[in-house]
Amino acid sequence: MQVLNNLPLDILPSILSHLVDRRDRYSCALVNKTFNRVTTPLLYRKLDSRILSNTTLSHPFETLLIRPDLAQYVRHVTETGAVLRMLHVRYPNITEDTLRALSLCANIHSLTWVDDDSFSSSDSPLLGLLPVLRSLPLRELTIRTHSDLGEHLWNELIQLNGLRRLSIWCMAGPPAPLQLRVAQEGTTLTHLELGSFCQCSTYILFSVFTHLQLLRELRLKGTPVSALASILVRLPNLHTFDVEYLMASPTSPFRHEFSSLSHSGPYPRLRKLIIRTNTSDLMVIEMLFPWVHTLLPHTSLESFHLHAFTSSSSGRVHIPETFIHDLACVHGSVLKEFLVDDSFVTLDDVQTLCMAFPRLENLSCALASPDVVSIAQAMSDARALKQLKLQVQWTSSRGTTNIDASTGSPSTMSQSRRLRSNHTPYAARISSKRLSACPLFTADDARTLMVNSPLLNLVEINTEHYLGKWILKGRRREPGLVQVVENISLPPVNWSKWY
Amino acid sequence: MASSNPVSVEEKVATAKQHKDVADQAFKAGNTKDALRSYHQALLYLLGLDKNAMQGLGMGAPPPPAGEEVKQERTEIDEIVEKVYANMSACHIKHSNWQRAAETAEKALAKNDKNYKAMFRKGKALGEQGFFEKAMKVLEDLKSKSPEDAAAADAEMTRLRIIDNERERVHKQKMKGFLKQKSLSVTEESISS
Amino acid sequence: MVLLVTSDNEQFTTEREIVERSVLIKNMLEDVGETDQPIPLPNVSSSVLKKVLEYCEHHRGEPLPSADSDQSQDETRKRSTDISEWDQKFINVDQEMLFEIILAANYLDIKSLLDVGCKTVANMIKGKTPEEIRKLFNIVNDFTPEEEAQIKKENEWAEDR
Repeated sequence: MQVLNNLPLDILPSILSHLVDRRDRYSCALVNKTFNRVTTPLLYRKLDSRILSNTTLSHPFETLLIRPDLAQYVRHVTETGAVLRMLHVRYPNITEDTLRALSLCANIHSLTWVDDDSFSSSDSPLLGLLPVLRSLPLRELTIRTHSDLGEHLWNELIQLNGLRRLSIWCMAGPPAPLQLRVAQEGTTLTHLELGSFCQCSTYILFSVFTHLQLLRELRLKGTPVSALASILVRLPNLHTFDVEYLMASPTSPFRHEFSSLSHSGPYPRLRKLIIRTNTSDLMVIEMLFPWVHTLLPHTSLESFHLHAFTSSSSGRVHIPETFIHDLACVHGSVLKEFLVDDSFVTLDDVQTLCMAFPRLENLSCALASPDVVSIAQAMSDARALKQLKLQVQWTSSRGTTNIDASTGSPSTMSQSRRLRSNHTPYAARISSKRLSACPLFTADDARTLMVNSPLLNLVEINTEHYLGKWILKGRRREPGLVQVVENISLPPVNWSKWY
Repeated sequence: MASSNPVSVEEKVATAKQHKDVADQAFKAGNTKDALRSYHQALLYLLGLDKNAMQGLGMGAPPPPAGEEVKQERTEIDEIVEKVYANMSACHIKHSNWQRAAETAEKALAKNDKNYKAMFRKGKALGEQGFFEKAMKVLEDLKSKSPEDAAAADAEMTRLRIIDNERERVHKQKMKGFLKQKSLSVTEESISS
Repeated sequence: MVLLVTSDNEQFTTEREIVERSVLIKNMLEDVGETDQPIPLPNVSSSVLKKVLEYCEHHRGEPLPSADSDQSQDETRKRSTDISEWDQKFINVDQEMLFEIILAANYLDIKSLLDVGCKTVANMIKGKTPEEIRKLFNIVNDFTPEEEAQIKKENEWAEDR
């Protein structure tokens, strides 16, 4: 360790800038004066009041008001109404002071303002926020609130000068598109998220999105499926589309409104498609797959992600074989990620995925398999795979002959699977045995998969994680030798950000 | 590195100085290419020599007497590096190599933000590259910091403004034509490709 | 081909495309053109240059970060402490060599290599207390107790809880 004290000073910032965790930065600020000088600007880059615990009454903005010189370092701020109200008892001026401190942050890029309590809009700290927002060089703004923003605030937000990314999750008030109507030509937005898109008329949708032509990323929640096509054709530059799959209720007049419309203009070339759905109706899910294809007429898709939460106890979501085939026909040469998480595919589908998508790097799905060998066989063509995540339902235990309980014959196993996959494409294909927790899959199996797929180094099977490390011979990788580290701790994926 | 290196820091600095002197002479004689070559040679000897800076700041070795300000001491090496970069910037300006002129001026300023010659060269080089606003900022900054250079900064700003106006006029003309064309050819093909 | 001479007077002949991963050398070659004259690298030893050239050869042809990359790009580059598999293996060296590589990358201006080295050191700092970090760098606490208390109070919001 002695050598590190010879480090030249101008390298210290380069090193410390790689420490992103505020706790590491906090520690570094206390090491000595040199470390403190380098770390303090980094520590104040990002202020997030959500990390405050209930017991501590310390808010970064208090420090900013005492030491305004630190405000120049602030780039990202997250503030919550809840924290402001919590601190209000001890600190009656907290809202005013927060806004005052915020206005000092002359170099701020992004602001997230969360207020999950509903209250009348006249109490909202958001009202005080507006003049501050106008004075700041914001490029990204996220607002999540349960109260109505009010027409005035909407108008101002959408027109904020230089804003690139706007995300609004507003649970009350008139529908977002109605508010968006004020968007004028010349709006600089390239990224938009609307979390409360209610049903509104065709005319409004058309006029709104016509003025948002620069959009490259769009996330919509609460928009009926039937309205999406007419939105997409307005957005030639869109490459990332994150959307909730939501059927309009049968009683909605909106339901048929679009079917008669011809969609003028081409669809954008989507590179990333994320679909979220939460339904108990498996019929709805079945309609989802043909619909996905209509969104993707060009060879363009690099990442397909399906989050299907079903509340139905009887069924899990099954990806139809035809869907994967059709996807391969159009996007086979470009797709890198196929992430369907808890939705089921068959072993045959896995084989198709590995063969028909030669660039597939990341696969996540659920499947049923009698043993590990079948999985390894299905994956024998996975050349580009880097990450694999499987929720496996073991249909028989290892060590015994692969006897399928329903047929009683070992020889018909694979055949019967094939047959069934042809006849019942979506639902209830797998006998409802409990998802096995028994350790059928071992580190050796992970190693086998990694040797077969030369780039694969992360395998997750049910709750187990295996990280592969190549054993090197000299400087070269020794073919066929992988050391597997079991049960590594992975950072949890944070979906809470979205919900 | 140090252990396998028979040449001392002092010797390297001496070698670097020699190269710099040669370069300065070449520059004065109007031979900017040769000057650049020798400046580069000087840099090869100078850069990477201040690796004990952290120790110099009381890290590792016994702590310095409780002084409030621990300011980075400007070493002789820093000074030479600053001059080399500032002079390289002058060479690049002679060659109208604006990007490298701006880069090298920036390097000189990183060593000494009061090097007003480098600041002027940076402003000029940025302006010539079309970064009009950045250039104005630098030159305004120069004006406020160094009254002696105010006149030159003003003259340069006026000159850049004229260039920029002309550039804008031509650009607008072009855009007009472009938009006209585009509105005619917005077909399925042109958007989806 | 470009001829390089290290501090211990060893000569390396290498392709221009490889050695131009070093922005220092790239700028030089572009400014004054290629010559038969060897390029002296008096601040890199042969054992370190060998490592560095190995890195450059592996990453040849990859785009260089642009000289005037703005800060946001810089942030993305720095955001993660992920190091690619090959780079991890490459930087898996003893600490003295790690340090020498960082110095050489800084000297030769090879941003991606400097990043790999700095990330590796950053990973060594992760999760450590101030005292442990002092031990790692063999440095002393030069704060007065009052100064330390002041900093703790100002930064209280960021403390680990």
